[in-house]
Amino acid sequence: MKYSLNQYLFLALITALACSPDKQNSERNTVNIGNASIEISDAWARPANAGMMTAAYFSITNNESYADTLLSVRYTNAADTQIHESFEAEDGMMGMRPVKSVAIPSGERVKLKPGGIHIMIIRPEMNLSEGDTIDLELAFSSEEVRLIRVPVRSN
Amino acid sequence: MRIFIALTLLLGAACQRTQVIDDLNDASFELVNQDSVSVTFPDDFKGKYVVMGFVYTNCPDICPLITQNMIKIKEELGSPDDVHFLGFTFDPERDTPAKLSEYKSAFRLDENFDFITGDTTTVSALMDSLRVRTQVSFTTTTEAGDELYFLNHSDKIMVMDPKSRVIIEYGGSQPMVPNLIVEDFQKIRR
Ligand SMILES: [Cu+2]
Repeated sequence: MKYSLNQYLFLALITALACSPDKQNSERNTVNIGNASIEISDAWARPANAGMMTAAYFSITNNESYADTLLSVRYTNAADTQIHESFEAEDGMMGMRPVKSVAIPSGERVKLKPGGIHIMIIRPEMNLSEGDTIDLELAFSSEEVRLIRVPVRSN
Repeated sequence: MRIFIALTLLLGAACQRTQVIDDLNDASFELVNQDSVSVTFPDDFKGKYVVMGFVYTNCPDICPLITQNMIKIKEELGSPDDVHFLGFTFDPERDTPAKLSEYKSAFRLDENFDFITGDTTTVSALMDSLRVRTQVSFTTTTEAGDELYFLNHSDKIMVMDPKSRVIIEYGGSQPMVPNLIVEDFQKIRR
């Protein structure tokens, strides 16, 4: 059961395709309330039962001429909401760590995604099931607070 | 960059997969599933293939990727009767059968897919014999005042054959892993 180089390259290609952002679907899923200089797209949150642990993901596009920073995220119906990052720790172990803020350079898109930066929703008060939505408050360094509506789905 | 790391890991894994990675024949662990039904591992699964993942339910990012990869393998194999799926927790202190039952229902899983826990001594002996490592990484106090710990952990999916021998092992959360395991299955069972 060995794999040829071609098969590896094929797999790498598939993975690259699978990881590229899906622009068509992005806007439809996220309701933006606030000004358009910062655009939030591709938002989703993973299903979880009340009292457990889950994560939300989205892309942030900065259309301004100046850099911005995501400072914090809040979901009112959970014990806490934190910004985390998954990473490869020593000895090949996977871990995650809190992230203080996320820099969004001018003209760039930063993608929060599984295995990377995620919004950790700690102990939601109710079940989050496929088809539900949750409202997140995003605080940026440039403006007050941004509200987004995020659909719950498996991936 | 991630892809290269993944491929390097896979290359490494592919080279050792032709042989038996671990023989669990002489081992026996008394555990419980999400319904508090006792499970003797690996004895209860002799005669079946077992796809095994290692998770903890307070992990919202990497572990759901592992669970979802297992689900994908199950779907792509067509949920055959002779392949059982086991998600082992390495955090038995918090992952009680009730918690695992909640976790299982959040992923809408039914037949042939169980989550397994046990007393801390047994679970850590099992993790040692499968070379699954964990380490407390950080603790946080929620706004509500609860203290929580998180774990660094090995990222693995393994397949055990009907003779209780681990014959396949990959990084658990990588997106190409379901395809590789399904392909291996097709070769093994041909
Ligand atoms: Cu996290």
